Amino acid sequence: MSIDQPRWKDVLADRMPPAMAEEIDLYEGQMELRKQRKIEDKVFAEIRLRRGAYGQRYDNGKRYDGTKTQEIPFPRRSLTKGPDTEWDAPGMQRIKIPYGWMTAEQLETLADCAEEYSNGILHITTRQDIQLHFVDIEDTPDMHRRLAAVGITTREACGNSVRNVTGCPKAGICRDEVFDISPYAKAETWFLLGHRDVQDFGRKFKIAYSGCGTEACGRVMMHDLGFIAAVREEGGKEERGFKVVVGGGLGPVPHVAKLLYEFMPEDEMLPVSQAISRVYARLGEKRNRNKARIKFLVAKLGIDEFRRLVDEERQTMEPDPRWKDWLEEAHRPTREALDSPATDGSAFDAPGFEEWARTNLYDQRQEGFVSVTINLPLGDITSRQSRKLADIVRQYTSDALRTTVDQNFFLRSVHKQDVPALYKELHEAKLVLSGAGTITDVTSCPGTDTCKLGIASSRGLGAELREQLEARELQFDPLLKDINIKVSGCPNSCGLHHIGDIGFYGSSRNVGSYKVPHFLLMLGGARDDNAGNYGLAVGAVPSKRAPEVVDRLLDLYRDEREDEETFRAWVMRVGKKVIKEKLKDLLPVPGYEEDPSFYVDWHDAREYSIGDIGVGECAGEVVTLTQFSLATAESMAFDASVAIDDPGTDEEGVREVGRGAYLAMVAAAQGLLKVRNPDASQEPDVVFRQFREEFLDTKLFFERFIGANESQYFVNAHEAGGAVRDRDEARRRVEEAQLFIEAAHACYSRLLQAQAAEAGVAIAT
Amino acid sequence: MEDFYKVCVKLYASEVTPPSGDADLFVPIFHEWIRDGDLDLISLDVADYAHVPDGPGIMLITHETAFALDRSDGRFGLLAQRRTPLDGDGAAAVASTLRDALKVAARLEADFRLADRLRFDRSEIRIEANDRLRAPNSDAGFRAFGPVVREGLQRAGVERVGSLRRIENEPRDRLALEARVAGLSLVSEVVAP
Repeated sequence: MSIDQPRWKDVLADRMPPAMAEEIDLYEGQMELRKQRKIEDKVFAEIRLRRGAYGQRYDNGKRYDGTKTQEIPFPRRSLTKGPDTEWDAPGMQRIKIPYGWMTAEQLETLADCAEEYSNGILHITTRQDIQLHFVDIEDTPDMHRRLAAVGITTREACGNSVRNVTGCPKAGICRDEVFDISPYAKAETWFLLGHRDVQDFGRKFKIAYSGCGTEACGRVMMHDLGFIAAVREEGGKEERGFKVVVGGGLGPVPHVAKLLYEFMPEDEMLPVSQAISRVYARLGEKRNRNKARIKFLVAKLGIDEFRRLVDEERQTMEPDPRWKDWLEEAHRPTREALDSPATDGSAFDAPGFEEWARTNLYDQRQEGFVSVTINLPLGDITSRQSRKLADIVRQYTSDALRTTVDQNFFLRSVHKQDVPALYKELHEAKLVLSGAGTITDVTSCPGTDTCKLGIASSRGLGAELREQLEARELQFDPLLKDINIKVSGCPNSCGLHHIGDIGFYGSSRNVGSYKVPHFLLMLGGARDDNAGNYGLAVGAVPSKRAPEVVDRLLDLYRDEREDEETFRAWVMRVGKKVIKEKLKDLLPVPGYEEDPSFYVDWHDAREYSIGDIGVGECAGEVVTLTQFSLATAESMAFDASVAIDDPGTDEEGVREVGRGAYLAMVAAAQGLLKVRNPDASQEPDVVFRQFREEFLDTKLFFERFIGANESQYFVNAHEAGGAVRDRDEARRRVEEAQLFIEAAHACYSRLLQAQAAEAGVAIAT
Repeated sequence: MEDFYKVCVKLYASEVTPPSGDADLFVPIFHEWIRDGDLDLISLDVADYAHVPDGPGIMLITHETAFALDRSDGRFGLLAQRRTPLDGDGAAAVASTLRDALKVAARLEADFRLADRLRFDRSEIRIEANDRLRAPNSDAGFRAFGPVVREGLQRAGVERVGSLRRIENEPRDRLALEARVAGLSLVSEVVAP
C-alpha cells in the first residue's frame, strides 16, 4: 500500500502570506537552477544565506578524524551550494524570532520542523534566533513554508542583510524600563525586512532595542544600531523617543556603539533607520569584508560626520506612509496575562521548588505577576519539551513567550498564584533547571560542534563549566552567583565572550610538535549598561585547565575582594597582570606522554592535532625561535592591554600602548620569518618588508576559513608608524595585535604541516 | 514526487550509562567508527546532546541516517532516523532504516567497552513516521502506514512480524507503532539487503 503524496506547498497555500509563499517558491526554483548549474555557486550561496540556510562544519567534504583528514564521499561531489560547500552536506537553518517573541503555535511548528528536518533539538542563539542543525538543503523550502504558515520568516536571517532585530525580553513588564519597546522592535523588523535600501550592504547589520540604559538585557551598545527608550517633556506632554547609538559590535575587533542622537522622536525611528541603511549601503566597505561592518565606517568618518550624512540623507527621502502607520498600535495597551489565575494555588508535590524560585522568577512591575525563566542547558530544548512548554504557555499566559539573549525561554505575566502549578508542569517536562542568569547559566556558541569557524569546543567547555559549577551549587552562592561566564569557539564572539565577567574564546597553540586546544581568557567585560564594557585578553589557557582557571579566579575574588566590590571591580583594581601571575602555574601544558588528555578537546575523542609530525628529530618539547618570538609578542600585547585598561594612563601612555601593540605585531611577524631565517632582523621596517614579501605576497599568511585577514592590522599599524589618534584607536590596536598574533600562531601551524608534508610524513590538520 | 522516506526505528536496550555520563562512553566509540570507516554509510560527525534531559544523547550522524542514544520516550534505546531520500517506496525506507539500526546495534553490542552490558531487545521495535504531512498521527495515518511498516519489516528479513499496534502517544508527536517480532537478529543475515 502506498502513502499519499500531498505537498506542504498545496496544503498550506491558504495559510501562508502570499509574499512569503512567492519568495519560497522563488528560492525553491533557484535551488533547481543551481542543481542544473544555471546559477553560479557563489551567487547561490548568498541566495540561501538570505533564506537563513547556513553552512555547517565539514561541508567542504573533509573531516579530520584525529589522525588524518578524510574525504567525505557525498553522493553528488560535483554539486555545490556555495564555493567549496557540498550540496549534500548538512547545514544549519537559522530562524528569525524578532525580539524573541513567539506564540505557542509557532513553538509547536518549530518543534515539528526540528523533528522532521533536524535532530529534534531547538537551539536558541545569543541573538534570540532559533537554529536547527544537520538540515538537508532539500528540506528547506518545505520547512520555510511551514514556518511561514505560522508567521515566521527565515528571510535575511543570514547573509549581508538586517539580521534578527533583538529586544529586551522583559519589555513591558520590567520594573526599570522607560516604556515597552516591543511594538517598536516589531515595526522595525517588518519595515526593513526585504526593504530595497537594505539589500546592498557589505556585511550583516544587527539592530537591538532596550527599554532602559542601565540593564544588560538589550545589549544595545554592542550592536550596529541600537535604540534605548527615552521620553522628554514637550509642550507639557510626555513624548516618546529613543536614544540612538550606532557602530557597536563584537567580533574580532569590538567597538562600543557611539551616540548618534540623544533623543529621537518615535515617529522618526523608521525613517532614520532607513537613512542610516542608505548611508551604510552607499559608503560602507564592500570589497574587504573585514572592514565592512558599519562600525568601521563610523570609526573612519567619525560620529559627527556620520550624523551629518544621516541627517542629509533623511532630508532627501520621499515620505513613506509606513513610517507612521504603526504608531497607533504601539500606544495601544497590550494584555498578555490571563484574566484570572488558572489554578487555586493549592499545595503541590514537586521537589526543588524553593531553589528554583530563588533564581528563575522575576517580580514584574505589574502587581501580582511574575515572569519565569526556563533555563536551557547550552540553549537546547527537545521537540517534546517544546510542545509541553507550548501547553504551559497556553495554560498560564495569553499565548506568548520569548527567547532571551542568554539562550533561555522567558514566560511573562504569570499569576503568582499559578506558579506552583506551573512549576509542577515544568518539572514534569524536565524544564526546571535553576540558576537562570547566574554563574551556572553559561552562554556558549556552537563552536567546533557545528560551526565552520570554530577553533575550540565552546559547547564542550560550556557544558563542563556548567556541570562543575552546578555541582557546587554556586548559583545560590550570594557572593559568586552574579558572575557570568561566556564562551566562544573563535574570536568572532558569537558566545559574547567580550561581555562576560569571565570570557573565553577558542584558540590553538603548538606544544612541541602537537597542537593543543586553548582558550583566550578575557576579564573585565560587563553586561551592565547594555553591554557597554568589553573585556580584554589576559592570555591563553589550556582548554582542559579552563575549569581550574575559573575556580582559581573565584577563589581569588572571594579572598581578595574589598567591601561590596563586584568581580569586575576586583579585576580592574587588582589588574590583569597580577591576576595572570596568580594563574601562571595553570598555563603550562604537560607533555603528551605525561597527559594526553590535554591534546583532546572537551567532549571529543579525537586528538586535537596530532599526526606523525614531530616523530624523529622533531620529537620532544623543543621550543623553537618562532615560539619564543610569539610568546614575546603575546607578552607585549598583554602589557599594552593592561595599560589601556588603566584609567590613569595618560595621553603619552595611550601613545605607548599603540606603539607597544604595533611592536607586538612586529615580534610575531619576526617569529614567522625565523622559521626560514633564524637570524631575521628585529628592525620594524625590515621585518615588515620581509613579512610582506614572504607571507603576504605569497598569501602564506592567509587562513582559508577564518574569514578575517589579520595581516591588514599589521599593515595599517605599520603605515601609521605605530601611532594612534586616541584611546579608542589604541584599544582597537591592542585587540588587533592579539588577533594578528593568533593568526601568526595559525600560520606557524600550517608551516609546520607543510614542512612535515615535504618530509613525507602524515600530518594533522 | 519523491517517495515517503522519513522514518524512525528505535531498538530498546537496557541502560548502560556510567556515572560519568553518555559522552565518556559513546563519543570515543562513534569517533573511532568514523575514523576506521566501520559502517558502510557515509559517516559525518558525532553530536553531543547529553546535557539535554530525555533527549537524543550522543548522536552519530551519517548522510543516510542519524543514530541517537535516545531517551525521548522515557526509555533508553537506539533511534535511527532516516535523513535523506532513497530509492524505493515507504516499505523500502522502513527496511533500510531498520537494517541501519541493526548494524549499529550489533556493533555497539560487540564493542569491548560495552561487552556484556548493552543488549538490545530482539522482540520489540518502535517505528515512527517522521512526516506529519504524509503520515499524520491519526487513525488514517495508521491505516496507511501500518501495512508499509509490516512490509518493510519483512523486507528487512524479520522472520515473523506479530502484532503491530499504534502507540497511544501525544497527538502532536510522530505517528508511532510498536511491532512485536520474532527472529530478529542483529547479525549479518539481516544486514544483507
